[in-house]
Amino acid sequence: MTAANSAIDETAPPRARQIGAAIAAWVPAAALLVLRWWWSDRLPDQVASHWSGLGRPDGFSGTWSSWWVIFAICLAAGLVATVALLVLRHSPAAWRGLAGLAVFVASMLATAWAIGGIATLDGGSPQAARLGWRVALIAAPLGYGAFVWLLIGRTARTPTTPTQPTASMPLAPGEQAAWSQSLRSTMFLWLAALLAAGAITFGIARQAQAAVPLAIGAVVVAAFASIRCTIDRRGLRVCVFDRIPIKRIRLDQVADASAEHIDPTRWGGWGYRVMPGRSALVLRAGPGLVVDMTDGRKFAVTLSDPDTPAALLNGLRARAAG
Amino acid sequence: MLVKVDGASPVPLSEQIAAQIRAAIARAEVRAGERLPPARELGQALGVNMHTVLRAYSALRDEGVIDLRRGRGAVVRDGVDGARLRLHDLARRFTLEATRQGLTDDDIVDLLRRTR
Repeated sequence: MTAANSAIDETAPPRARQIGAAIAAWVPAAALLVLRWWWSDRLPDQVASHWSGLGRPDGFSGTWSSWWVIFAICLAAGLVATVALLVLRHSPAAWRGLAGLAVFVASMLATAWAIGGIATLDGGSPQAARLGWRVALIAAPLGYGAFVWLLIGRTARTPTTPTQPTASMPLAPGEQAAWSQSLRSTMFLWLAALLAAGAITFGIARQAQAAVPLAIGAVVVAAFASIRCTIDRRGLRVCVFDRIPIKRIRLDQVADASAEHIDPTRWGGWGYRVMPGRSALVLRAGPGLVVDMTDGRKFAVTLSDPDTPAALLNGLRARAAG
Repeated sequence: MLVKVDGASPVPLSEQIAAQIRAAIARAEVRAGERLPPARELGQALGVNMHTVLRAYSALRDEGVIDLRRGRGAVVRDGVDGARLRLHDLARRFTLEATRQGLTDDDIVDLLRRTR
């Protein structure tokens, strides 16, 4: 099985639609720029920003300070959608999710700011800004979100068929076999060290609300820096810290195991990834073990020599099935 | 690292396990500094007693192949020579076969000297 055809079980949207969606993610930021130019000398220093009913407002914000915050978020959303397009174009599900979320958040925020501006202008002062019919404007980002959703399309899944039979290790009736490999990831180890250093720094500065999450993050990342993958008569297991299982696949759940090339951008990134219908433990790009389960799901883990464990898993399953 | 044991073989289970681990190190499937699976884990995986695995680990420690410490588990020692390990493995299999054929220690040494 080659790298090109192994992991694609989703259809990517056409390139033109992808670019269209990435451009659509910049529209909220562009709309804010237009509004700023249009309203620059008409809006007071403050705008109404919160209502509890359709009547008078009960919250106010600095006009241009709130504009800057929301403009920055809209720029970031445009950037996220564009980078996602460039980095995740082989992973349609992840790209669609990220781009869709970025567009939705940006257009919601931009519209919320615009509603405050319109209400303030119509009322003549922030205090007199009545929400009224303007609440209906919030339908605009919903409609825009739906438009972008249609543009990027739904994730279609096509079943993959194995292109070649995978090797199966023959096992004698009285024979027991166990395979085990510890996976080390220098990248995760450095990341854990960095987080731990941050936790210690904040700890010394007595900033518990920053130190505690960093310390928890360091432990979680450290767990992923030292993982053990085992295959034996019980099936496949992935354990952190040598004994805490984070993934178990029983032999009777295994349909087929194969050695494939794991491309992190096709499996949703690095670390423990969970996507619809499949999950993966990706520590680097390179060879890995892909298990097709009887319920149609897939699990992948990056290993330095996946041929032996794949053949063993197939052999054990074949013997267990009789 | 693949460990296979055969209950039908006359070779004791712990020796089978030790031989497989030695071979895995010789093939560089397991490298210096790498941790071997915990004895309890490997025992459960193979359906053998934990103490059988520990006996294999102790033998490997006595040969200077691994460090075995409480709490740290079994770790492949630095500077373990794969080629040397392969030679040890061959010697072990040779003496096992020679003993089975009824050769004494002196006969084995003589045989080695003559085949040089």
